Amino acid sequence: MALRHALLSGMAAFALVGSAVASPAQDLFDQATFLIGFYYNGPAKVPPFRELRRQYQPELDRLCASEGNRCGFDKAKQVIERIVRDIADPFTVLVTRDQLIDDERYGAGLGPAAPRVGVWVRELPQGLVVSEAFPGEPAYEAGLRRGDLITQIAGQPATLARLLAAEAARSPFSLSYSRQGVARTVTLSPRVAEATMQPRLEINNNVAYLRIYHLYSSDSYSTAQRVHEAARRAEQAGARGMVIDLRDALTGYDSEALLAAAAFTGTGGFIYDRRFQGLDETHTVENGKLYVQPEGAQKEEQNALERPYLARIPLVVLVNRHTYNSAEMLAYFLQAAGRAKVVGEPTAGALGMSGSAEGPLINGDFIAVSSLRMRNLDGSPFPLKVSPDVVVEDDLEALVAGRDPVLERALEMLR
Amino acid sequence: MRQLFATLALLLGSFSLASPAQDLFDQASFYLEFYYNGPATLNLKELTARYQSALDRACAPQKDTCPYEQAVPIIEQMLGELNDNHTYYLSPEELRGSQESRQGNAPSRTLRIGVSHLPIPGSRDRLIVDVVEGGPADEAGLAYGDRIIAINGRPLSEFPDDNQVVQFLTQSVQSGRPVVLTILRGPERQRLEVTLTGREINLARFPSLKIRPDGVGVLKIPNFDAQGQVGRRVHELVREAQQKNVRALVLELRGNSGGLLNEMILTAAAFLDDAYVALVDRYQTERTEFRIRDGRLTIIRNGQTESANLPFLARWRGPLVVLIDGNTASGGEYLASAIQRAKVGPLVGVATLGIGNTTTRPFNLINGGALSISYNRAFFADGTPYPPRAIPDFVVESSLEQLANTGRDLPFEKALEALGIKSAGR
Repeated sequence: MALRHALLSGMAAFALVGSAVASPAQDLFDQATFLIGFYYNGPAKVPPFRELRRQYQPELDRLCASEGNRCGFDKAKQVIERIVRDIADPFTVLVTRDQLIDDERYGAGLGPAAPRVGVWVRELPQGLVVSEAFPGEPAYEAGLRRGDLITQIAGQPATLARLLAAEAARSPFSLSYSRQGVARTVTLSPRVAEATMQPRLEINNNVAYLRIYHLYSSDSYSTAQRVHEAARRAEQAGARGMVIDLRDALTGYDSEALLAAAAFTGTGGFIYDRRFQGLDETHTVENGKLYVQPEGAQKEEQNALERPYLARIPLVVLVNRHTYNSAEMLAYFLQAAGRAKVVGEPTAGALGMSGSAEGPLINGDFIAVSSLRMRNLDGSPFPLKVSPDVVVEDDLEALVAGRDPVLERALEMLR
Repeated sequence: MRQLFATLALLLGSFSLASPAQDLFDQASFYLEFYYNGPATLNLKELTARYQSALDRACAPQKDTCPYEQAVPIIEQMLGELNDNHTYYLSPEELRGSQESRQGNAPSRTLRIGVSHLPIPGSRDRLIVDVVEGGPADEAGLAYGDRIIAINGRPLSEFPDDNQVVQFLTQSVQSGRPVVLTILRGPERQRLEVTLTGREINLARFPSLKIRPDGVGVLKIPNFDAQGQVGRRVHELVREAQQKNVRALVLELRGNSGGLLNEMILTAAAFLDDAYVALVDRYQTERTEFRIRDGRLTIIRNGQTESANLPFLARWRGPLVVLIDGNTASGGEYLASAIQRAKVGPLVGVATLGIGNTTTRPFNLINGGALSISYNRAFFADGTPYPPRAIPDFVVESSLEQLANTGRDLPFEKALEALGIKSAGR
């Protein structure tokens, strides 16, 4: 009897501790579920935060069963990742602090913070296909070009993981690639990219080609400004048409996409719609100036381009399944204004969504929540993705064979 | 995954929409419960649950349409229970006002002479307790402790109550015509007539330096609000004091209401070889260290270091004494504590307000206002926490009544004594 009594009081004491001190996992779970459940205004059906917690708490409890109030962040992160997967909205994702630092660097007109050799690649069973070799970076300088097939990295079969590991090691490594059957090996030294991710203009055979990698900006740099300058240069050079390549393009700032589109549309705008009353915001562009009008307030100029341009040149925009968020918006603004035909694949599906990275979460991560839905100025909702006027699927085999069917189709349309 | 999602969708049918008031209350409660890192020891879950019941009662007639306005007083009451001056609600207007003073530009929008004055017990006269730098009152030489006894020749004793005194003064200023104030000043009760005219002024506050006939400088810092403008100004004034051979400095922090940490630490560097504060939140997610040493500002945020040279720094090495009172708050308390700890000058007055070891962080609310919450705890370089209040080395109690009746500013007199200077009146 005495023993049983002691046991009971021991349990009672333990239970008290348990209820007074939440585990790190519980805290992180509470924080993330609030931020998602309270602010979410995207296309998925997400319940209010209390309901969201009720639904996923059992899963957390299961993962934490053996650890009690010492249950760590990693367990909660698993559940949060699960919630994010279930929401299945490409905008609502966990974001690391390093990614946010990279975003800031893009805004300053720079490349990411970590050293790299400067390629974007897609994985195939036989190796890595270079989808972009950034001029001015080590891979490009060593001769690599779009369409090359990387077969070996430091003597091992090429995988994305190996490439990233070799770049992260920051010391020179050998890389073998083949171009239409001809094999080559080069030595590459990773380094931090400077201005290589700013828009890049080429003019070939009287057609302008403008590659845009992202739509970030800052006080010291504006992607949209570069787009206006490129549009002017293309017309002054007498180009008869322009291809804007947004394949694999990262996101950026929505208003920057609007300002960039204005190089071809002159005017335009969108409405940010929150879940809560009275907090809508209208963004418009006119004469290279960006205006923001909070609901119930005056519209105010927020940003102005130097020497804005309005190009009349025929336009084709290239997109693929990786063209994401603000980049989708740029394609959409041009297409919806009847200013461009879009060629390629349906885009990533984060077109009408926006929001800021909430946090930091208490484990140091951030979470992007679709807290803003976007509407056109007439009130109609944005579609979820850009539907190309001409659907042409990315064809990696063709790319390895030296062809780019999407670009070829675009050039045909401009002929 | 797909299956689970179907369950989610099914459940959605049963959700009722929360009212705007409930949304606002939910948002405020979450931020308070989750981030609060101040001294209050209340059970926050229990607190928010109690006020949820109050909200339910207030919203009972309106249910789903219950507006934000119903939730605001309930949130304010709830925060009041914490009794923590770093945790408070800001209405949309107040939020705008605080943003304006951060920019150093807070137009009064009406005609003002730029004084704060308080009633004097047993009299209709008014006691001037604050003068806005650069305003008409400042230009006319009005000062802390002056007692207004008549306006436009009309003795204040004739007025039936305090409200009518205030109304008369406001109307006289608002008229835009010159106003004549009759005042009593100093222990000699010197009687002066001062003429001044109201105008639109900037209510944002800045440091000022007044050099007394005895060569003592009074450096007053009302707050640390104006971004990029307070710390710099302090260094300019310290340099001016040095150029004018000021023999000792009284740092006037009475009534200093705090402001931006950056401005406080810049200010501290005018008096300390090593100005330092580390801030840590409740979950230790972010640790930020600010340090100014050898003319260089270093900020370490989660291990990432940024630094910059500060060529404009001056350094006061002469005699120093610091005046504090019960209204010295937040940044004012940090500065006083850091100076005391470095033993560069004594503190004179009474213990400060008691929020000298936390920072407050505003979270925007969906009604356009904000909830400011005690968010970080502050630490010295050796890891000891900043104390919640600065405790004076020389305690000098003072009352406004005594100041109003005798014209003697006892803490100030004590400050001069601590500097070894004979008080020669004001």
